[in-house]
Amino acid sequence: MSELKTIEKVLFGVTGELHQIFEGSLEFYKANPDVSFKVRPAYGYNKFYLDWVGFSYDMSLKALIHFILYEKKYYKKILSKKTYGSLKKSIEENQSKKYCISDKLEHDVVTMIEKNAINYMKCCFESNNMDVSSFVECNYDSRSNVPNISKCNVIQNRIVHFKNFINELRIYTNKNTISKSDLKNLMDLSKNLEGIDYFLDLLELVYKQCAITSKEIIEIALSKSLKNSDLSRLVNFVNNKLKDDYLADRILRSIKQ
Amino acid sequence: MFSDLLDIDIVREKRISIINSFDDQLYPALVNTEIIQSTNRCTLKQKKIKTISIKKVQKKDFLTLIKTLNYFEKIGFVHGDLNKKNIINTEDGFRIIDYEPSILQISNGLKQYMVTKPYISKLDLLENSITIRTDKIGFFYFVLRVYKLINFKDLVALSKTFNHKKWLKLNENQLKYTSYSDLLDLALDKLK
Repeated sequence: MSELKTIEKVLFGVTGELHQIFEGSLEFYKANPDVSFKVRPAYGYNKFYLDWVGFSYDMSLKALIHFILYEKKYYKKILSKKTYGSLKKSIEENQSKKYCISDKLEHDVVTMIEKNAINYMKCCFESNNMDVSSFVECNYDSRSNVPNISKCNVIQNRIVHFKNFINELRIYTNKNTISKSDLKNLMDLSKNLEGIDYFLDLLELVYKQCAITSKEIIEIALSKSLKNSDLSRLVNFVNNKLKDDYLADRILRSIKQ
Repeated sequence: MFSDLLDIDIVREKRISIINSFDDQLYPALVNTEIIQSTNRCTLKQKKIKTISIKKVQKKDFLTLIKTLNYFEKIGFVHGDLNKKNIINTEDGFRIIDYEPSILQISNGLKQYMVTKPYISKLDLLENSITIRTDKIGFFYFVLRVYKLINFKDLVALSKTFNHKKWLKLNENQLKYTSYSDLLDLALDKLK
């Protein structure tokens, strides 16, 4: 069974790829809402419709996700050798055929990635004021948890496209004050963050608006098993930006000798 | 303006005007007659249509499609790229999509027919043209694929040889005079 961190990385990879494909053709389809969102992204049979969700598998968004998982070798990371081998054989025999994973846990992992990636695509359509009825009809209707800050980069309390999320947050904080509820949202989101770079990027934007929330986010970061070098970077941030000697000292003491 | 479409203007304009005249009841109509320049080809955009999975298909389900194709044959219109990805199933039956403004285009820097391998008549390849024979071959393999009578490996092998004899017991010259209904029967014979 894959670790949560691996699954998240795969999900980020898939959504990042979908985002690029979506952006590549967005301009035309935004201007032509009567047309199905057809893309030719050089995956699988090279013809997919991003708004085909649910009814038919062939050429659908789900099929595209499946090919991204296969061709970017993400399946290798989340499936057992046995399942991967059998899936590879099935694709080689007939790439249009939908492969059903028999192992329940592996099936659930792939379904979770599919579901989140489809929800992400739905949020992308929605944030561009495009028709999302096909998504809603098939119950892909998760909304962004932080509607004021990010329109499409957060799904089910996870940031799925961090770079875009931080950019949107930067633009938002340049003009607005983050509300109490959004600060709480940001704190909740940080619980699902992995990696000091992400924490520092987030803290850089939050500390200017609320020192208390940034300290709470630092506590969350400290609850993750950080390396000494990560802790040192956190100390630098606390010293230079928050000017909190007590907190800096506490972090310093947690550095393993 | 459309230097990458290899038909002369008048031929291309006629083709677009024919596609545009199709009845919306039978074909998803064009959004407009504007040619869309995408990275690897020039296309026309049809209206959005809701697809459903192809499940239990009966012979009668092909009737609307055959009616459409008979109409094409009657007016001398060649789709040029009939295959399982260009015939979609809807609540109103099979619909044909993806009509290109020109069958011959410069795609990815190469002069190419907008046909998907292996759904092309070998004779058309040899004669360097796309005719009704290619549409009929496309339809025949579409039926075989709907009923899963041909597998992926066989299709890959076909893409290399374009030798249709194994599947279609007809001389390609005869194809021109074989109706779509007869082709459907020939394909369905393989079910027996």
